[in-house]
Amino acid sequence: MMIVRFKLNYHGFHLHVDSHISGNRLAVLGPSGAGKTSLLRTVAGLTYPEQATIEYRGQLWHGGSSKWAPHQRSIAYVFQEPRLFPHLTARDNLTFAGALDDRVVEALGLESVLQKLPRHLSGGQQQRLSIGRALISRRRLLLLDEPFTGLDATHRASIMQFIDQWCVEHDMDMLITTHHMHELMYFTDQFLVITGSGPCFQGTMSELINHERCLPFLVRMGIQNSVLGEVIRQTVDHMEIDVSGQTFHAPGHAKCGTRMHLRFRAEDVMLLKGASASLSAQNQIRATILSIHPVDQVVLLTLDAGQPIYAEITPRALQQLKLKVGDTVTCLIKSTVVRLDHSCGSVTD
Amino acid sequence: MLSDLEWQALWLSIKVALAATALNLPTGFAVAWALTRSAIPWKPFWRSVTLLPLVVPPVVMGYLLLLMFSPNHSLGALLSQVGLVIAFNWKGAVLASWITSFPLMIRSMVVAIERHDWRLEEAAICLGSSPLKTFGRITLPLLKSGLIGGSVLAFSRAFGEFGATVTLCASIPGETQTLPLAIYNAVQQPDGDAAALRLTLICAAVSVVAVAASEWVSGRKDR
Repeated sequence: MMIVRFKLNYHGFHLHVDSHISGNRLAVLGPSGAGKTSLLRTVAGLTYPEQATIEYRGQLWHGGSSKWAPHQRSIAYVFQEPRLFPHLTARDNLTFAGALDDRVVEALGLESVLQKLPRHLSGGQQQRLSIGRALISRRRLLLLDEPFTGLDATHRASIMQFIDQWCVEHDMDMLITTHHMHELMYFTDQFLVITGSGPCFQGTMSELINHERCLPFLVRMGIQNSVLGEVIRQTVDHMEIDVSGQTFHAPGHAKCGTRMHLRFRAEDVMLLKGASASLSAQNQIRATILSIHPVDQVVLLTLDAGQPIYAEITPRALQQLKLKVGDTVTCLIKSTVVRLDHSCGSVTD
Repeated sequence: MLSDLEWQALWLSIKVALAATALNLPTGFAVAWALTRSAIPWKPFWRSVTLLPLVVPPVVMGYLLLLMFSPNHSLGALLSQVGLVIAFNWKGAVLASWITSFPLMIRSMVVAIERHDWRLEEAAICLGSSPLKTFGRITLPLLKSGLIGGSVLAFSRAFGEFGATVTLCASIPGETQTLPLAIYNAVQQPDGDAAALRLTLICAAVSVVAVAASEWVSGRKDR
């Protein structure tokens, strides 16, 4: 349980957060300059705004007369830039934070660089080392500020998976910001949206979409669908995944019974009204329209397919198909755009 | 090769310069820290004050010290009661060298502290490192080059100190006569040219060794 409540007035910059976090992970979303980093720095104890209250697992870190120094708070902070200690080797950078762990070294691909000084590492290696250092500290609350910037796509997925696993094993909580919604969704379904001067919103994606003032921001970030499914059949090169009674097809391998999240962007969902034609799209999911929200130049539809699905279409398409709340349509989703996540932290009902 | 008195002058100079450097390290570091990292008011003014020993003529500096520490004056009398004699004593030479070399230490330290990336300390404390551990393992090693650079400058300045020392301590052979004073003394003698040259070469050799040692120590981090 984490309570973050603060007002920050600083050089004409206003931020008002009032957040009770019941889960153990929270993703912070917001445009640049909205105060994501300020929020993390306040939780870390690097800034002490007036009128702020930071409470974590029953400990009042900041508020009233209480003012814990950063090293007294059980945090591990991964900054936007690696901030490695230039005079220490990669190994010493890791052991500065805690006992060396071979799994961390291996998962982050640092075996061959342990004896090197940070200035001899590539940008990606430096960032991985800074992530490893935070994990090895084994502290309670991991603060991740754009931690995957500078990591190439091949490493990113496996590193995210490892962070997720490690945090579950070591009972580490997480406060994370990134510009990519799918990275946030990999770790949690709890979001805090900071909009800059306006109010903040907190909740799951389906709760946030119902906030009119929050929605335009989410659309600009690129709304991601996330549905939970279970592998029911595995053939040579693809699997069938049951999602609330309907079947998704995806390339890849997993054991029958494996539960996973299927993620795809709202703008990758096409809608078909009436009879199905011969289409290459493998996933044809029947769904009922729950709501229609025009936002800026697009229209966001919330659909019910046993689990919520979001689709983004143009106002022109909406008019042509004469779509209205209560209509049943077919969602067409190409298998190639569906991302499969096995993260243990986020597979919960 | 060297006479007993010359040996004593060499040894005294090294002792005085080392003692002055040793005093300069903690005091210079603390003052440089206050001038850069603390919230004291009028920082530019205090910076100028710390540079005064560099611009005031050494003889004037020595005379002011003599006024303060002479046994006939209150501070000197007070100190001599607890057994600390400054004027006309090798300890006076240490004081004179310390004060005249102090600005060089400060300048090196201020530059090092201002160039230092303090975000690294944030990173350390945000991994649970206490302020003391952070200072010992991150701050101090990274300020090492500034400390070494300042120490070499301060040592060299203290080793060559003349004006303030001769005014405060006079040039008592075997007692307060440091190498520069011995050289001056030799030059004053009708047949002292050979001795002056000998001592000059030794002076130069000590300076070269000091610089080489600092290069070696600061170079070790580039493994």
